Amino acid sequence: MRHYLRLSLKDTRFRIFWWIFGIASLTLMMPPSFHELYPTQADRDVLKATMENPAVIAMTGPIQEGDYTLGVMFSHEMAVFMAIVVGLFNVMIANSLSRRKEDDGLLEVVLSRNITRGGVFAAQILLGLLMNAILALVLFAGLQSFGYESMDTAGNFLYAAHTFGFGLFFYGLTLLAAQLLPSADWVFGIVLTVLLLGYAYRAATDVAAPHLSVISPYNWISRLSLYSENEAIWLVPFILGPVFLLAAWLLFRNRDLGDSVIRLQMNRRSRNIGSHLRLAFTLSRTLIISWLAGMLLIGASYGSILGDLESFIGDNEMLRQMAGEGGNGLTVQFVGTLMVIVTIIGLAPPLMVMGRLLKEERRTHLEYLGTLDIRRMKMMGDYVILALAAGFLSLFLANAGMYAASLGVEGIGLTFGDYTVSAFNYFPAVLLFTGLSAFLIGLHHRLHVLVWLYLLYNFFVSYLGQLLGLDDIYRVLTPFHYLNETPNEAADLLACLAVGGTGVVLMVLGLILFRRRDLA
Amino acid sequence: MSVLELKGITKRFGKFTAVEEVSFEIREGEVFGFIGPNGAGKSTTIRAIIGAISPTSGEVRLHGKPVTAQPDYRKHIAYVPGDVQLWPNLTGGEVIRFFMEMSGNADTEKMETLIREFRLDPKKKCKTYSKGNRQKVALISAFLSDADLLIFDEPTTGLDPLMERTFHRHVLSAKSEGKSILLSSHILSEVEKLADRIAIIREGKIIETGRFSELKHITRVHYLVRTPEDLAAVGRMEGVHEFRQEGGEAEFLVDADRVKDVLAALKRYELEGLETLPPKLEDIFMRYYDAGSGAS
Ligand SMILES: Nc1ncnc2c1ncn2[C@@H]1O[C@H](COP(=O)(O)OP(=O)(O)OP(=O)(O)O)[C@@H](O)[C@H]1O
Ligand SMILES: [Mg+2]
Repeated sequence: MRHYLRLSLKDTRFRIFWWIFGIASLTLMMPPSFHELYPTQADRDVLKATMENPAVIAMTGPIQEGDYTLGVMFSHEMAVFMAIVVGLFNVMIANSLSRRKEDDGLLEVVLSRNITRGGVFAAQILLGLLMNAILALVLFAGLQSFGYESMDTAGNFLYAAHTFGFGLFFYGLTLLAAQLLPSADWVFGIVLTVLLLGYAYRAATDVAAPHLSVISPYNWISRLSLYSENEAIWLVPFILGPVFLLAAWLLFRNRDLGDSVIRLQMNRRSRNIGSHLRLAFTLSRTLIISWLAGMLLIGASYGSILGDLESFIGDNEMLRQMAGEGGNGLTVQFVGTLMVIVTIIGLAPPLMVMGRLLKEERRTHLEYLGTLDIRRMKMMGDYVILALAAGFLSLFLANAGMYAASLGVEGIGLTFGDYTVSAFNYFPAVLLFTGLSAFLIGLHHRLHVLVWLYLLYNFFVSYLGQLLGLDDIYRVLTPFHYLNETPNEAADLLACLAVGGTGVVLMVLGLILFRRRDLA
Repeated sequence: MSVLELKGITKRFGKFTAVEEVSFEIREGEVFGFIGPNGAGKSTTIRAIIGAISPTSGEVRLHGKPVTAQPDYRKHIAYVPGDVQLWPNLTGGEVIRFFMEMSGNADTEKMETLIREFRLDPKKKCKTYSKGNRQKVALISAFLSDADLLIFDEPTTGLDPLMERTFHRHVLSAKSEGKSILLSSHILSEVEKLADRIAIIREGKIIETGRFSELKHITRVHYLVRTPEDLAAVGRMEGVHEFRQEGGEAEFLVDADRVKDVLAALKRYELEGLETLPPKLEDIFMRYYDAGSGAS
């Protein structure tokens, strides 16, 4: 067991290091910058007042009662958001250690070498505990080192503890899914869905029906009331993490390797796959369709809360002023914010489709297909086509969902046309990201991770920009600086052409580079 | 007329030279064996031929023209990788059909014959296939294609002996149709049986090319001698290897260039029988292999 643990650790330590480094620096960057931006309590109280609106609550969760101290501000704006990243970290590592290893046949080799299942599983658990503990420790030490008055030891401890708990929750869920589902791709897809839908669900219910929000683990974080009441009792639900681990162990103990509890075996007629595009589509179909369903759902859940804005505004004098007559302006503004968020989420499916191309390369399929006289340009081109289609449909379906779910709400004043225009307005971002993805794949088979980091950067900047009015200097590097915010503003055709054009240029470069480069 | 010609192919990965100045040609209707120890550079050479990687220097020519000048040269090639990885969620039949569609071939009758002869169940998903079954899918697809150059990278490592024979039969029948075959293999008996000419590669360099009969000079001759006398003195001669004598029988290998001396020495003994066993590819290979490990 010890040897296997050491082996797994060696295999994953760089990835774990970079994740922890990234999460910790992103988190620890914030308290000092908040302190600089809003040095006095009066500054923060003004900020708090502007933040008590549904758009912000949808993003960050409800605002705590009481003073908006530096600590409260930090936890309110960062904790829920960072939880997504922490969850992603745990899903990826857990999946690579469990189902991915099993799919690759490595577990089989290991188990034949005098290492028991208990040993393998213990190593998987220990690694999860270890990495989350290190992350929590780094965060705790970092937060302690600031010595801000409102960020006391109890609060810092609780912040670190919830990170640990949330991480382990998704680590456990992933290991459990690894026993239930037939392949690593399925595990990643399903747990990622839980991670993202959990966030979307919390966003919708926090605004519309706060008592229902408690089903989502993100809401437990809000309920901890970090740096004010410190309701440590809300750490208790995170016990589910270890429960998942136990369930996973019970399933893993008696299961055949390569088998799964849910089989998903569909017996179909033999398909006739007559072209490379068809092949590429067959390979990415499940991925694309499930993302599209998710986008529709996210759009609908956002749309469904629009009706509650009225009552929300009713309670708040300041918002009433901001919103003007009838609160209509505010709703449209809120829709504009939602569209940016939906677009950023909708950029994930095109990138995942492009990732399939890399996977085909890694599995030596491209090398093999090459001997069928399928050109590299065609290989990449077909995935680009699928990625663009997936990207457009993602935006379109999310917008359509938003429209459909808000049909019953009176006085929004947005037509289906407005939503469609919005989908087209943000499509250049899909071109840009797909282009960047193609360019990176064309350069080298290991660089694709950069486009994911860029997506995360976009999310972060849009998110914080929305909250804090972040310096425009950060936004300059994102397409959202140039594209107008529909439906508040009319689409700017020139900006669309510029962003989309950049994407197309990158795409062409990518295709040319990919044609020439060595396959991995 | 040469179908495929490699001219001084060199491939470096960073500082490491995987393949250096590799040259050989394959003629029409010829089976060309490509042998060498693990990591010698066989797969790298093949990947340069099929265009998965581009050589650092050197040229690959097909039908007399450099492949860089013929963007569609791969339509003349069918390839079976050493480690066949298929699409886990497609069935074997779907993969074979896809390959046929892509090479514009619709001979379903031949397909069914091949599937029957290789005993493949085409309705199963590829992820449920054993290694041998995955290889069969790739082999069937290759034999179905109209390509006139078939490239096999260690094609039989997962096949049982019966299937191996089926494979050999199809290689020979492809050859009789005038196709050329590049066969990289570790199984020497297979290369010996099928190949008209061979190339031996070690540490990225071709160390020998030619007809099997021409390579005999570098082999060791295997002698079986019956004699009542003690031949220990012969066993100690230079160029004599693996000497064994039991009762009235002695057995040993002699380097080809030492045969004359050894035969002269044997004249001095009373011999009841002298048998020469046919040289084997294995002996050629071992000699280079020994030299390689001895040097390093
Ligand atoms: N992409 C790569 N990057 C770095 N080194 C490589 C790469 N591909 C191959 N090599 C190295 O080149 C050498 C030759 O490898 P190659 O796969 O051609 O050997 P081979 O003769 O096919 O061996 P085997 O019989 O084991 O299949 C090996 O040392 C290998 O490690
Ligand atoms: Mg090889």
